[in-house]
Amino acid sequence: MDVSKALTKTLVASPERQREADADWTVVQQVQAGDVAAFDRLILKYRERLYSVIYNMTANREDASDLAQEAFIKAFQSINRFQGQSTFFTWLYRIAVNSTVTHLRKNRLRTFFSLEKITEEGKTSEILSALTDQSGAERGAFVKELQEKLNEALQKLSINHRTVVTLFEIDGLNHTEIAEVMNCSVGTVRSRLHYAKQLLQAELHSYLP
Amino acid sequence: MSQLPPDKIALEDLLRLKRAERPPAEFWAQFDRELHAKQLAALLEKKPWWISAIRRVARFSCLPLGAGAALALAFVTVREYSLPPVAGAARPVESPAVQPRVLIAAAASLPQSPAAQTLKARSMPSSAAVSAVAVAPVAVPAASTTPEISSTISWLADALQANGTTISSARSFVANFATVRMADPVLTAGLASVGNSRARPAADPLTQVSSPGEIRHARLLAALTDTRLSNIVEPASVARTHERIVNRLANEGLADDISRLGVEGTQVSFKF
Repeated sequence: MDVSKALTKTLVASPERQREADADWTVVQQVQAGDVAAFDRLILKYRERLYSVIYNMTANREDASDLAQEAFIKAFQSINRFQGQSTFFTWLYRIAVNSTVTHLRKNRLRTFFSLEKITEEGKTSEILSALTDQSGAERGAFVKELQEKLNEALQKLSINHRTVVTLFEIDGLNHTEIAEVMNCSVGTVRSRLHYAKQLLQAELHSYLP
Repeated sequence: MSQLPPDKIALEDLLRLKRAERPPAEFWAQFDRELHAKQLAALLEKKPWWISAIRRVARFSCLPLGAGAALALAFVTVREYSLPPVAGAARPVESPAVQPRVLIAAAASLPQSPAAQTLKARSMPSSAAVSAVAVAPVAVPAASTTPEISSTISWLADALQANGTTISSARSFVANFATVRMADPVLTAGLASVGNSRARPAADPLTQVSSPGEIRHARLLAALTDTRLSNIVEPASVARTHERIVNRLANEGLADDISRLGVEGTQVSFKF
């Protein structure tokens, strides 16, 4: 990692993120020392986030499950080569995103949605209530339709644009982290995000004021 | 419960719904089971030796992979297309101080030899240049002069030994040649072999191979000649008949009829 990148990362990374990265590095060193069971802690910590990213990129839960497992296996096999130049989660995300992109490119013509159910709680429920005043089965049908529309709109984006939107809007990574995961500049991330949002806005205009 | 006004819904809020697409708790139990099985398989899996070798080389090598591949390709190409070593020509002339003396002496002692004249004309443009030639013997490219020199030396040595001449220069030549032969037998053997190979006319190996058609033609001619000329006494008739047989055999239609012709011993059979 060059100096400017490291400086940017240091400036951007919050103390909480830094503590998290340090804790991960300690576990990684344990795994590197031969404590294979320590890797389970990393799996437990990141499996849901990793699955979520892959799921939102593929829109298929079976593929997402397989790819998330594959990413963990790859990370486990290569953990001796991880030298702590980036944070563990960035490294893990990069493995997962690269595997997913490869999978999507390989199966470009095969698009099969297999969606999870939306868990209505907190903010999600609030949003859904704002979108529809219906209740019961009608509300369920509306939510299902909205979910399909959202997935369709996301699938219409290119793989790179979809990845940026997923990492920023759904997983909550910042621009610098996304740039590191996708191995591109922060400017590219911003540009892709802007373009992707424009496209999504056009696709989902019927749900937006 | 609906505290968010509908006109305040933004794209980010819609995308936030995607965060709520989560698998049930039992999914993770299965996920962990499968992952542990795969992890165990990955631990037990034996990787091919070349993967670790490549990683080790890549770790320690400063050369990029492309440069390494190019180097390997160049090495293989050079090794593949290098000429096979010629016997006697592999070693360069190692005693230049002896050679010019030999040549000059030989050229001076035997002016009647055409090879010697050529040599003298090349290596001794004037008498004043003798010493210069002796100091700097290689005035012309060694590759072009070596066969001529070697043939000359061989020829001279044979001639002198056969005649038993007592000329001083010739004696010095013989002595020098013997010195060179003792000092470097490989060189002299090589020079002799190169000279000999030049003396022989180059023959194309393909011309020495007779085709099956020619062999068959000769056999037919011999058989027909034996059969038909055995009863003819007059020499003129023999010559005419022989010429006729040759013409018939040389006919282009012979190829068509060849399956009908058979030769066994001294008999020729025709099938109609």
